[in-house]
Amino acid sequence: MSIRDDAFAGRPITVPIIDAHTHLLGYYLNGWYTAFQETATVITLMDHLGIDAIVTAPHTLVSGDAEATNEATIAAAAEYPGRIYGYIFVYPHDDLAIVRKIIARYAAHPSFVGFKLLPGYHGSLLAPAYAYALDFAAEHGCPVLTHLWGSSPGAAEVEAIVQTRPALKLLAAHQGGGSADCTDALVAVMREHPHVTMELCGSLYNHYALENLVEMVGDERIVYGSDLINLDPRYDFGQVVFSTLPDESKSKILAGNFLRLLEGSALGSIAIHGT
Amino acid sequence: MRITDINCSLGKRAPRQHFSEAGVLLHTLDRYRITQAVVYHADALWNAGCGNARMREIAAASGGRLQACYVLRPNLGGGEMPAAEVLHDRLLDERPAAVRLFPQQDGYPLDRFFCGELLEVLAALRLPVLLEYDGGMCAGLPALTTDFPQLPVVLLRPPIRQVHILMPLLAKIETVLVDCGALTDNGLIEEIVRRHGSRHLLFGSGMPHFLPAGSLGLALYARLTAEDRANILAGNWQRLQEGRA
Repeated sequence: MSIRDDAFAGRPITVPIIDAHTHLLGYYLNGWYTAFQETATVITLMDHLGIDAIVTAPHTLVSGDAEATNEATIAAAAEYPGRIYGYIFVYPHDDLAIVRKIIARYAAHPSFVGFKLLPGYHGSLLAPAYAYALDFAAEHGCPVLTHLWGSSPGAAEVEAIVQTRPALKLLAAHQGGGSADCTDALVAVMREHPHVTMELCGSLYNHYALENLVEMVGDERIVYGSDLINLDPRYDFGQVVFSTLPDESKSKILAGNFLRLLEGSALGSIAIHGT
Repeated sequence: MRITDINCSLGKRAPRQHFSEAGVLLHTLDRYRITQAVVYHADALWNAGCGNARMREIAAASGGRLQACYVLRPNLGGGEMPAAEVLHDRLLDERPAAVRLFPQQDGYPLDRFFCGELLEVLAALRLPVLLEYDGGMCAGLPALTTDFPQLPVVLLRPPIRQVHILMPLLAKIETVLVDCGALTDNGLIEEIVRRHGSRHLLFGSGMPHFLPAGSLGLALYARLTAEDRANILAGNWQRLQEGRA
């Protein structure tokens, strides 16, 4: 039975799956909407799809409250061990001393496997606090998921941060910014910088299908993420499981590539059955 | 499992699209296990008469897989569109499955004042009107559907963050239906079905600009009863077709 056959039957997918881009807690600003807010419901939805684990930075990140965000991650991870992991969130407008303290405190916690940055909402990806976090991540071998949407920020800022940090494992969200033009720009950066990986979520506006993305960057440089809780994970999940790619490629995109990003990391790790 | 994709086109409309020819569309329907598709031809955007005739021929040769959707414009009796009575008889005779209007692109308000003659014809035939989603246009739908209560109006591919527009429309207007192919506010499909029933939802992919994989993820993994899913995937469209004059 192939992944695609299971998907057409609406069955949970049985290969390991990690959703590498999520936010817990309800969020209704500016017309955003989710029909439920409870983490328990998120878990039932994960079970329905066959998602083993999610990596999250809860929605309090939007307002810039780093401590509340990271503490919410710890609470969720403790409530659902093995199902929920976290990204350390840093707010670039916090004093650098606070940012250092936040990173030192949460990098030691095993639930955190990397960093999540929200430039665009919080200004430039080139902010000094981000530079500190990026240097830390490069040194400690953990991935950094950065928001990208349209040109805020765009591929030029991605290129600027990886240019000086060749070892940085950068996970570029939203296929580079949600449109084919943004994807083209990110792909140009990815061709020059082998440690940049593309994350999938928010693909509903992008005319490129997953098959196109794989053709452009290969099946080892794309990671499944959904932007759950606001975005319905089933759209980007569908992009993978209903695609015409071979199961081997789907398995890499659904979990294998993200797990590979965690190899050699000094931060937390993810244990999934069969991996 | 029958799946009717109500949001497809043929021909060239945008630089990035996955295909333009009917044979490739049929092959793609097979690959994604989609039974049939409602399709307009992009040539109709340049010249409705030519494009609609082409789509009609393609649909006739498709063995029932493709249903023709006509592109129409409201200036009846002018250089492009026939007079109202001629259009009525032609639609009755040629039986397209639906009509697409492009009020935003073609630059007219979709209401009785500007489009009354055309909408009278479509309402008399109860011919579904497919509209590319535009939140601003939706403000006119309460008046439009009051003026033409027999006219089914289908909103194509509403994206995220439209809940404050969609929920009142679905709660208060029986003849408004929504293509759920990109309805990605989390859990919204289930919430719509729970609060307003499954009869308002249809399946659309947006081919050839998008492939159906993501939309299938929403529809086939929605936590619904088999009956509700079947309504969304094909039954509601069939009901609209059976309700036509």
